[in-house]
Amino acid sequence: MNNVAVEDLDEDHLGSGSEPESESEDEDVKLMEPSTNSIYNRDGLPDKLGDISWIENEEWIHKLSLDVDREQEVDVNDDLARELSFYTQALEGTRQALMKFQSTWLPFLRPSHYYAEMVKSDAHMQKVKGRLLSEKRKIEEAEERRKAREAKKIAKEVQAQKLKERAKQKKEEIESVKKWRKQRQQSGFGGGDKDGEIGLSFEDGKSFEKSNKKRQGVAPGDRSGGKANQNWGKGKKGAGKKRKSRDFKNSKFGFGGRKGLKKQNTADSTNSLRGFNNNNFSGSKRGK
Amino acid sequence: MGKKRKHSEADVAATVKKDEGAPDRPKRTLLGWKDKVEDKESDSAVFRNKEKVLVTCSRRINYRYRHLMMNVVSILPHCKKDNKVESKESKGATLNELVELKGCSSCLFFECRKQKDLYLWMVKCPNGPSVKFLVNAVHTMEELKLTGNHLKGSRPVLTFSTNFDKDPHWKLLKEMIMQIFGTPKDHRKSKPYHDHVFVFSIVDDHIWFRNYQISVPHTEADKMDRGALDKMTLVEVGPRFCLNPIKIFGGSFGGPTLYENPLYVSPNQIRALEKKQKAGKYAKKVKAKKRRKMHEMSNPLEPDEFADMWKE
Repeated sequence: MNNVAVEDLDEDHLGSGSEPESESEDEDVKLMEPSTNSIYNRDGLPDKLGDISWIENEEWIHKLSLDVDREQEVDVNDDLARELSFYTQALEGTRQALMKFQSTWLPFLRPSHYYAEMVKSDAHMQKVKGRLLSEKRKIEEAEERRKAREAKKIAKEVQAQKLKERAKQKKEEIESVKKWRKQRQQSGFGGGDKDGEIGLSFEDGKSFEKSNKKRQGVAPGDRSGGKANQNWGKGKKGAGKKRKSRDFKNSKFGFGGRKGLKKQNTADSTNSLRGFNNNNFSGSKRGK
Repeated sequence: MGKKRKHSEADVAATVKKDEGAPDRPKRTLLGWKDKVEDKESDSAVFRNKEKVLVTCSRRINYRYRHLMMNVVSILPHCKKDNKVESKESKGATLNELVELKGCSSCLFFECRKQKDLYLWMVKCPNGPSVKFLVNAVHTMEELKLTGNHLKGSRPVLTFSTNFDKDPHWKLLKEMIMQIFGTPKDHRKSKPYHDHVFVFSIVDDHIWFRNYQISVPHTEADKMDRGALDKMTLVEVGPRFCLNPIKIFGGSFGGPTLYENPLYVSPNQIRALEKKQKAGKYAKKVKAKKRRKMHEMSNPLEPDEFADMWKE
């Protein structure tokens, strides 16, 4: 395909021999330089230079110009490398300039209390600041979201692990009770000393290990399992929501839920006067 | 005429007798008494940079280039901005007169053609050389990604890459840039302190311009803290542009051509070539199809063994 393209262009050629030829390659237009056409007056240029230049050994403070060497060749199309080379050139130049300024004993660094008109207005700098802040916020939010995702994954795994362990524990306990019963049966409900020989796995004393979960001290008569007053101190808003959680319902009504809306009162709720004081002004039920 | 001669002779005699000891009488001039001491100072030629740049543009300039021009006006305190110039007047003579009228010694003329291409003329008046550039890759100061800021009117530090010294035409350009973009020392509108730096460097035969703000931690105005040089950072202020030299002329806005860039292709030519490339698309396609057909006909395929495998 490309060969055909080149052929076509040659056929339609304009015939301007001194103009640069063009070989088209896809989208870019590549050009060759005309070898003899361009004027280069090598003598006239230095003459003009002499005309316009200032006195030779003028003080540097007037010129303020520095030459910085660039070590490597930079590819124009590589944006980052190009900008980096400009930046290093500027950095090197300013270093030399600052050394020179320091030797002149003149003030050259702007004090922080010097307020004067800047090249960009304050409003514009506010916009710049806003943009920078919003970018930072976006990055932070993305970070947080990623962390939350990771944490959720890990938490889920841990949870699954815990559940598995608990189920295993339960199973083991039941198994050990069954074994014990079987052994007892087999040994024919024998005397006390024989029982002592059988190692009962659930009497190790380990099964009474406390779980890490904090559980408030529960009064004996408390039917809600200590969860009624859980968030009383924390806040009134959250209290309502928290009270409807699974744990709370389990502790209040036992496993299996409400069981027909019977027996809702706990010790605290019988004693609380929640609905009484507000209805003072709502009018009596009967005229009396 | 005679009187004058006598006067000058007397003057010469007076200066000869100077070292005889007696303090001189101050010379009497029309404006008042003039001391000899003053004469000596002006004789030693204190260099005063009286550069003034006229910045104008042509009509029908693009918004982006207009903002670039405004940015250039704000970073050069020694410039004068003038009204837009009619297109007919950009052919040289009238512009020269305009510069003379304003009392400027150089000119930066932004010429925009077809509302697409920006040409920058950098001219030293009255009879200095002039250069015409094509401007590319324009980023103005209003872009929010260029976050630096510096004092308006402070004198910049100019840095050039060393390839400016390789060829005479680059040397000439360097001198012109230094005079036009460097703020004169005791200019009225210039502010003290040096807090920004210009970068001019030649990459791929283009002159790239950058403007950075210098931020170095310091407590006093005339010397830096220890080790502050290492903590110096540069923040880009803008604007940014890239200059492609087209021609250098001996006179201002014209004159004999001193230099012509062999690698320069006008943007019109580039656009024309691109169009030509796209022009023959359909014809090329038809030709390609025909070629394929001829090729197929001339090299027939062998009959496929499995052709009627799935035939019912």
